[in-house]
Amino acid sequence: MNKLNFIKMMLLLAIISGLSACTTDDEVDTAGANYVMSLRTQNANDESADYYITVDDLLNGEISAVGQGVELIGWNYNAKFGDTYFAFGYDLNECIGYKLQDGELISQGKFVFERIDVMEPLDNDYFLGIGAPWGGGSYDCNLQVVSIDDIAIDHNAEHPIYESFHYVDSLDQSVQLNAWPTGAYLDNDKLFVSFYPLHGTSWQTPNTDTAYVSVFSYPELDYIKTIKDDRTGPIGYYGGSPVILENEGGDHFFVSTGCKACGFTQVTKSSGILKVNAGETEFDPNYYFDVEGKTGYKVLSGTYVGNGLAVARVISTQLDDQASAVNMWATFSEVTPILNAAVIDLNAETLTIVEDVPLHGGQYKTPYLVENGKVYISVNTGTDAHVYEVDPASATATKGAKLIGNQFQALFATK
Amino acid sequence: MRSAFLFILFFISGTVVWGQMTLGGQVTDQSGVGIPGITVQVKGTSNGVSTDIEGNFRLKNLSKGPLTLVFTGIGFQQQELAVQLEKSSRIDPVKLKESTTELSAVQVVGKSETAEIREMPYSITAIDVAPLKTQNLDVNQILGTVSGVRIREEGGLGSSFNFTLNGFSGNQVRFFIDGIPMDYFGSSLTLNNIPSNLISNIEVYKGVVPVHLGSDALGGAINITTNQNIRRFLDISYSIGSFNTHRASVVSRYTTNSGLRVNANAFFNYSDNNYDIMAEVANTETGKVTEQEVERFHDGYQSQTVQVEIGVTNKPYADQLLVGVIGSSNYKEIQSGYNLTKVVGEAYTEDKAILGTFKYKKSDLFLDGLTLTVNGFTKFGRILTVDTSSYEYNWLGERSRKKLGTTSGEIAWYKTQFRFDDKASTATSLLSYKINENQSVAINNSFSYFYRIGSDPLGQSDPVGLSSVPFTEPNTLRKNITGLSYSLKLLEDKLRMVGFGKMYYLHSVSREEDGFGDQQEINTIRKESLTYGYGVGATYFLFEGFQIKASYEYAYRLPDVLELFGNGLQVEPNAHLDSEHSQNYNFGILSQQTWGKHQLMTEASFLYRLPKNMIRNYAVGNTSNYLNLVDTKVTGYELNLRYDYNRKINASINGTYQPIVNTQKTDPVSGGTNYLYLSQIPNEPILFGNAQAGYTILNNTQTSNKLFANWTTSFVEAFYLKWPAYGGKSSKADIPRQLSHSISLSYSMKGGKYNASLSCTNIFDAVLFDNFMLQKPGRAFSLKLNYFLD
Repeated sequence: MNKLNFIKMMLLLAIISGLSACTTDDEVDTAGANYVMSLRTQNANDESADYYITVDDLLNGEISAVGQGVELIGWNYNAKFGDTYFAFGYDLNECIGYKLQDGELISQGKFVFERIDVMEPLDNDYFLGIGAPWGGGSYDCNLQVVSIDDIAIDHNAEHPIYESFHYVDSLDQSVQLNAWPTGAYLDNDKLFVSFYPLHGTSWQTPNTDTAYVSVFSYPELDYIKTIKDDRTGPIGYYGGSPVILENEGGDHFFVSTGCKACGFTQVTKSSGILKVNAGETEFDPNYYFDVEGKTGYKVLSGTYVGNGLAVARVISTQLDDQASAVNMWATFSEVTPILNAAVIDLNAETLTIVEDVPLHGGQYKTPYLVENGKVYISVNTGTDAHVYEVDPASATATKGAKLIGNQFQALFATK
Repeated sequence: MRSAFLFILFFISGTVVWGQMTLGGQVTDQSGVGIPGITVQVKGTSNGVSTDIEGNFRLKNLSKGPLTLVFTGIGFQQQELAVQLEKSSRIDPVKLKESTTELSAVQVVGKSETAEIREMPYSITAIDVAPLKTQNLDVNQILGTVSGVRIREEGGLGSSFNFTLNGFSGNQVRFFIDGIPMDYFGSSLTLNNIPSNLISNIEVYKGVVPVHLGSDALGGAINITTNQNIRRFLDISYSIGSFNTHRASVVSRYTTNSGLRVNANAFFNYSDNNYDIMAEVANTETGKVTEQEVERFHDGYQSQTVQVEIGVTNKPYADQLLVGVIGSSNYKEIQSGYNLTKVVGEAYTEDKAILGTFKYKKSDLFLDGLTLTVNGFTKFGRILTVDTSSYEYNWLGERSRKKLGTTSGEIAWYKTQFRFDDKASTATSLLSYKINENQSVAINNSFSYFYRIGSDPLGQSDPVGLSSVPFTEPNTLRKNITGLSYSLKLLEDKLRMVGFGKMYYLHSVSREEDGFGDQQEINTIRKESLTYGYGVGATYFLFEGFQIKASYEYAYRLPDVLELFGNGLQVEPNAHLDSEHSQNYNFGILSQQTWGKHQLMTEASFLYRLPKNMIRNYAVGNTSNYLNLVDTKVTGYELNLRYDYNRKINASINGTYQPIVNTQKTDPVSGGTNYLYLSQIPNEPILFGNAQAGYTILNNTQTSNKLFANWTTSFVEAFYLKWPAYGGKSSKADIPRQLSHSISLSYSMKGGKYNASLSCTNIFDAVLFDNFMLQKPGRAFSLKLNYFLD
């Protein structure tokens, strides 16, 4: 599509780059583009598109896609690996990589995939895309190692990331459950994948009293083992934002949401945080932060900032009960304001609500941007959306630029 | 006071003077070939008709005694004929002499039926199909040349198409065959299945839809009139074309002298649609895509229809009374999802329907000038959708077994062999009364009932086709629409006016699923509504050949079966849909000028629409559903020029410019500010036009052989898929500018008895799109052979 325009643009670029070649070195010129944002202009079910735009200032004025940005067809997940900005089309099942050149995002190529539900960094050359078994009938995950430069799948392996679950449903039938991946990270030669048991066709969650993480070898992608902990329930959830947090020392924290409105048909353990220390392949038996028990809030996702502090999205037990009674996926609705921003001290095991951030709606798989000790989040109060800058040190926030749209799906710093 | 007096006078005279006799005949040229479009008028009255394609005419409402017929037509000398009328009868063929001297500018030009339709106070385009008959065109191709009309086709023969008329699309525009709504005929019998041989006229109503087409249309209606005048004929045609396309039809009628009539028709269409497209071929290992030319491999289409009607004509109790049966079926392979990135290699749909039809018409029933028309049909239909493949295809036809979504079909989230069983009944009754020469009233009622139940054999066990569950219980839709209109002619017929009111009733019972897995339950949703619409229209003849028109309508359109119930596959149901409504304003001028052998017709119109609560299809991935979402404003400008020289050369050009903007101030979902207020609505063509030229190369009056060449050009300016305001221009997905040319050469022998037509569409093999990434066929040839016997 639009081939002619593309050719014109490439010609123009060739001329511009030819003219500027003599003036500067090879360094990417990102002047006037401090951030790359994927802006969702309307709710997902209509003629909306997501737009990859460049933004200079997150705190003042308005951010809009009017007349600027790269149009991404349909609904997308986004990630940045190296200096490439990826858009994973949820509708079109294609992944396009863009690079910033002269302040413009230029497509570098694309590949087609069957499913990618989790996308996490591996090393300088590759990222991991995990395709989850959708809809029952298949129970293997597809671990795809994707080349960042080639923008193509390098190799992949299929695994039932956990030996199959079986449970007996209300019709007395034995049903096999999926293991749905929710997050992943690489610790040297070990790949950790968190997941939760889910009934493929009915989306029921009959098994919510254990946290599971499977461990694979890398780069072989051979299954090693699954670690479990019954102090809390499953790690993460379908379509959720980051639930694995890494501190300065390379320790990893895992968030169990215990949140019914995140798509759980039942919750049997309180929301809490577990830890796997750097270099180890077991949960730390001495660390468990019972967030819900201690604070009355459930953690949906979070990001580590420094000094034991993390910024998180949370929901009160009370609002979770109310919202899930209406819609078991309520925390995904950007226009249902039921979430708070909070600062979590992972060492002191405390949670402080950031009162400057109003109650707001949820998102699908939105990464957090951490820059200079501040965290930037998309806040939709139900009628309009703004960027908020959260300062974890003081548990305060600043209302930033207004979004001409309903949320940013992703935000990345260009430097 | 004076008009009231006239009213009474006309009323009395109307009931006394008018008789019940008819007079038929044929107008031919010197060689005996029928001439279409000749006006036959009873001298001293305004009672007149024009001849059909074969030159036949029939005058009604004649009284006993002497009368004089006046025959006028362009290119022929005016002729008069005195007749002594004793009983309804048929006169010998009237031979007209071709005019050798130049026609004077003031001479009354013979009005064809299409010209008469144009003179009504509605905003209307009437297409005279006669000249198009020998060309190998289908109805869509003919309609596609009308200003304001865009037909967006997804592919080749049998592919889905979306008809847009002045910014309205899909079911906002209603289709009729001889005044019978086509809504429930189903996909076996669509516009493109009607052979142009059968059609005498196509009327395109823009905005105001007359009451006699009793239906709920938001933005207009198309009425296709089939030829009822010829008593006996046999029309056989066959065409063969690129992409293994075959189309055959047999259309016949036999009427005995005693008035017994049998119509028997059969149609067959087949195509592989294996045309080449540029597509992105994905490597099955790496997912990497490369663009290359590929041949569509799973896009076949076949349809067949048989129709038999039997009844009587010209009886004291009925002008026409016919009962009939239509059997039809079609099979269609699916090649892609909503765009070319999703390749489909196995899914298909099948559709079978049997219909019983009833047509009744009687003029001067009980009272002179009182006409009753009743049309009804009942249908039993079955629609099967099969989407059970466990493979993923790429454009080379290579397949790999799916790893993750193994319960998904190629398009459906869950595999399906979904089957709908439909029952539909419709009855439309029109009672019109001509009070006198200048006034008439009409009342129309249209009742329809639709019943759908569905089942999926795969749904018995896990997995369950999610969208199929609601159809385990019947879904029903009942509509009742009543319209009343009053027409008036004033100032010696220079001013014509019509006023009308419509009442719309809807009752639907639909099922919606709730919950997940074994907690799933079906909720019954009942919806009932009663709404009213109204409108007025007027036209004034400023001077001979120059007419102005204005009309206003407040119209409703009730949601239909597909919108409410979905199709069990790509279209998901929405039981909560409301009616959409619109205020439509039309203003137009129409001029027809003749200088000697030159004739120029100019039509310019302006339209302004304020549709609210518009029902729109929203695609999410490979599925979509219908929602009441936007309020918009349509401002349309149309210009249509047509030139004709001595019935030898004709040329026409038309253009449409119709920006459609969003007038929704608040976001329909969040209630917050709608940042798209006053933005141009995406994925709608804004500027488009057509040009056409025809030339009669050879016209041998001795042998009545004609050779005719025709050129058409179609243009659509590029438009964006998504909201135009957003995103950098170079990255935006668009439907690129379309410019395509077609040419045809038709040879007709023995006055149309044998016809052969060779056509080439898209002669420069342009890459054409009507919809995002759904490439249409390239250059294609077809040859049509036609035999007509009467």
